[in-house]
Amino acid sequence: MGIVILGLNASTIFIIAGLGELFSQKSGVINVGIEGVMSIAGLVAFIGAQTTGSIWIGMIFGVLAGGLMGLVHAFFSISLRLSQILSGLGIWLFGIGFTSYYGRAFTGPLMVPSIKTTFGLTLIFFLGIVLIFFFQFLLYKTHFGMKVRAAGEVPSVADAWGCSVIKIRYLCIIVGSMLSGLSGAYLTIIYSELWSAGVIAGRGWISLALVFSSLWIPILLLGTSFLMGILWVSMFSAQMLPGAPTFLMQMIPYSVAILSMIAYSLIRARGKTFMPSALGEPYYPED
Amino acid sequence: MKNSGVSKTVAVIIAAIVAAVVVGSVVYFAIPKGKVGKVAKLTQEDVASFFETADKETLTDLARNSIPQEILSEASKAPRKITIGAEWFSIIEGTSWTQQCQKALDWLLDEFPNLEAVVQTEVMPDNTIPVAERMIREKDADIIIANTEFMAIPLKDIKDKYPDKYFVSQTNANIERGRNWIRYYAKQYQSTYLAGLLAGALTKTNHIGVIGAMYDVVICRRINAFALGAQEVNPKVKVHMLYCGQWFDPPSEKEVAETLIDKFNCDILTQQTDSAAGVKVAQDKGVWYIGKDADFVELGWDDWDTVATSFVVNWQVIWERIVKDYMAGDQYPENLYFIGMESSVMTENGPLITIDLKTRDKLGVDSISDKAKAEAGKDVLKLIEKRRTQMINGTWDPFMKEIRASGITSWERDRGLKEGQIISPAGEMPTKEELLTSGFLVQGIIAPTS
Repeated sequence: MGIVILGLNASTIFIIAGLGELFSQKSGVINVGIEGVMSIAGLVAFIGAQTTGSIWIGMIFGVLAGGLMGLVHAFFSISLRLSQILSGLGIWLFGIGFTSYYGRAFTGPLMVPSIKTTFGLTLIFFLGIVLIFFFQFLLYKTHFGMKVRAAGEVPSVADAWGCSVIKIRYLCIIVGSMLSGLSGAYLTIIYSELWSAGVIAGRGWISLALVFSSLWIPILLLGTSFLMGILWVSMFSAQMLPGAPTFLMQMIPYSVAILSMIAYSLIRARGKTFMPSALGEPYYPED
Repeated sequence: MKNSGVSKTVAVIIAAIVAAVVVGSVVYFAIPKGKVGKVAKLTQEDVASFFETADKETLTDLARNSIPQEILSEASKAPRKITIGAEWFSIIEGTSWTQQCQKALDWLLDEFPNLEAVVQTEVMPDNTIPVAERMIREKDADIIIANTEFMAIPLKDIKDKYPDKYFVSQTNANIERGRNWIRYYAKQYQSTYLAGLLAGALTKTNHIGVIGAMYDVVICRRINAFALGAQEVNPKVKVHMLYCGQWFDPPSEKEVAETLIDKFNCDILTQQTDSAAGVKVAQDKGVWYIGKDADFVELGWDDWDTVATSFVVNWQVIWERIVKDYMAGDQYPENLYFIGMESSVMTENGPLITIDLKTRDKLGVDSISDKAKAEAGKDVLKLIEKRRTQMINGTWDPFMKEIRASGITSWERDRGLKEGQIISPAGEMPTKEELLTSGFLVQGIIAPTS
């Protein structure tokens, strides 16, 4: 049971970061800089919590930092119509470099009391569950959700309906990045309670992969995130399996992420497409 | 007849002119100026101009001729400046290992007024040599110290290029050394043994957890001694070790710590990694923790309610010897240091031994928290003190105990050793080289197969 609780806490990072990325991608914009967003938000949240002595103020700082990075990505990819992949990579590299340099002085443990847990699970885990169902409802049962999906599938039709695709995409990216920021903040000030360069350790990239393997459906993302969280913590106890090579065990989560991408590609090769049709394409509104 | 008179006169005049030119030349070039005729009056501008244009050698001569000899003799006896170039593999903040190395360096700088240091952090194997050469070139570094083997090894490639410098490297499993290629390590296992005595007494579940970095000779040696100590006071105890994969990976260290507590029922943790992630888990879960390589309480990573004690290494005990060798101009210094509690440096508070249990300013048994002392019991505390004294006196060592194999490491499998087989009988002490290169784990340690 202990491993399950550990796994669920670990899955919180993937649930929230993945959900943010899913929401952004549903509107047609991919953000491969999610790792950089999480790094910056994690550092800002850590600094906020350390200096104010409050976990929750730190979390707010992290969310806002994530939103700011989302705004940057939106500006480059929507307003300037630059390649979304390049913009995201730029944010990733900026995030890693910025946090490696400015985060040095803050390396170490968080000197703020931990938050309470319920059955060993944090409040952020339950928030993640609520958000999953909220976005599931928002995207598939509301008029606004339909607009978001339209902006991601056929933006020209959405535009013709009177939806401002630009505004919808801006909103989705910023909100999505705020969720990524929330995930990064959770990782540094609640999950690890410690800052160091590289603390995100590839979890942003895995969250990105999980969006693909969940077929862009929030409820499925919940399941894949749970699985990934449990795999992530199980790799340590799996070391004790007779003859199990330690480093091979540590590859498991990353290998599963790659395999899920391959599986999605195979599904796509059979003609079934779940990816938003306009994902990655800049939109040019008609005059 | 009149013509011969004229010729004579002309000859005399010419001779007089030639003589005047020769004498005048001699006077002008041979005799120092100022001694002929009036003494020139020097102006302030003349003096200023002299000092602006005179070269270093002229000024040095002028000074030497002006300063009394007895003062010059005294000044020439003062030790020349020595510079240490420190290459740290990680950042200093937030790490146990490098912070302790930096403390040792700071101690040396306080101790030796003619010692200076230049520090570079986050040095990796691909830039060890460029950083060292830059320190030598720009800061005239005399002694290069690299604080971990994997990034220090490249230095051996430049030891012959700079024969008058010392290149000093922590040793892990590789004990290659040379005339000016010095390897060192401390017998940290002596303090982990003492910590093990305490842990064995404190555990109620008989399961102790170790957050390990990876399968590594240094970790094996330290945890072997830790397990030997724990088993001495509690024969039923099991020491569980899991690997994070890296020396510094806080989220993984946290996950390993939680796994050790939740899955393996460990109620005491220690680490063979470098971050504070594990001690945070111990605090949350209410289990004891033993700090590693640094005083966790002094660092502010936790308090005495969680950290029963910590074991620390005072690297300055080793480095002081190396610095003194260099200062004495020793061209063949000691090049393999593996010293422990029997060695120390003198401080204003008395001798500071190489490794010890430490919390704030308290050492040995005094460093153990009152709550842990009460739980451990007086007999164990007496044993800790006894063993510590024996090791300080050099009369006992943990590896003098009988060592039995666990059978789980490649080192043991390569030698055909199965679980329970004797590696070293009681009373026999392995050599320095054997201890530095052996990668076995003792029976009673449960760790991933490696």
